[in-house]
Amino acid sequence: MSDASLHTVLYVDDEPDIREIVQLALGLVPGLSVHICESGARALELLPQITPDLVLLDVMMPGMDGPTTLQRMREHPAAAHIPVVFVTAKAMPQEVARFKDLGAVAVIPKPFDPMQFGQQILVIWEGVRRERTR
Amino acid sequence: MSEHDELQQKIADIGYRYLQRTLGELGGLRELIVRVGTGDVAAVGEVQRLAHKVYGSGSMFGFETVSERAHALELAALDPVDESVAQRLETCALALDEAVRAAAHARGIQ
Repeated sequence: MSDASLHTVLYVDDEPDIREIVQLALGLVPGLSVHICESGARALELLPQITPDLVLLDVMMPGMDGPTTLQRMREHPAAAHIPVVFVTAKAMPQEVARFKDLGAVAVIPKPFDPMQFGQQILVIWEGVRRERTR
Repeated sequence: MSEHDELQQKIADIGYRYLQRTLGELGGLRELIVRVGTGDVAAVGEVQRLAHKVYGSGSMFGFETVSERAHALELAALDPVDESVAQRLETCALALDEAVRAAAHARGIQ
């Protein structure tokens, strides 16, 4: 039986302070390997190397924004299957619907509670896992 | 100190640096609004992106007023561009500036 636990995540955000918060918050999740980078372009470089189970993308980033990064992932065979969560201050219902139409499995609004972030990610992962076994 | 308390302390430390960084960005914001006043419509988008970032991150560190005023600035930047856009943005930017400086002052940042 394959291990369905969440092992590795990649978080992508151009804001250094938020990256640091996420590193700390997800560092509290036992057994989780957390990778952090600052741009969509860098994320695409890292994906083949770290093959995360889940990618967390900020939406508004200079250069390649979150939705474009997701689109590029879907064009790349090694990354096409990786579920993506958007993390964004744009979290109105119509925006959430748009992000899900783009292929995101979930949207986490900013600000998020760093103390709860790890649990949020695990709940999302559980949903992804259940969907895969349907 | 519990793991929870440790994390809270680290978040507070990052928040301190966040305020310092945001203080530094206020100068860039003022320059953008000057550009808007000269008719540079692209600068409106840059104001909106900067404001959006602060809106999403301010509350994360407990700076609710900073976040609210950044949101107001973002909304002002999203309004249709007309001859009063620079004035609107400046008004909102001043309010944001005030909030950031008040938060910084409360934490002993000059």
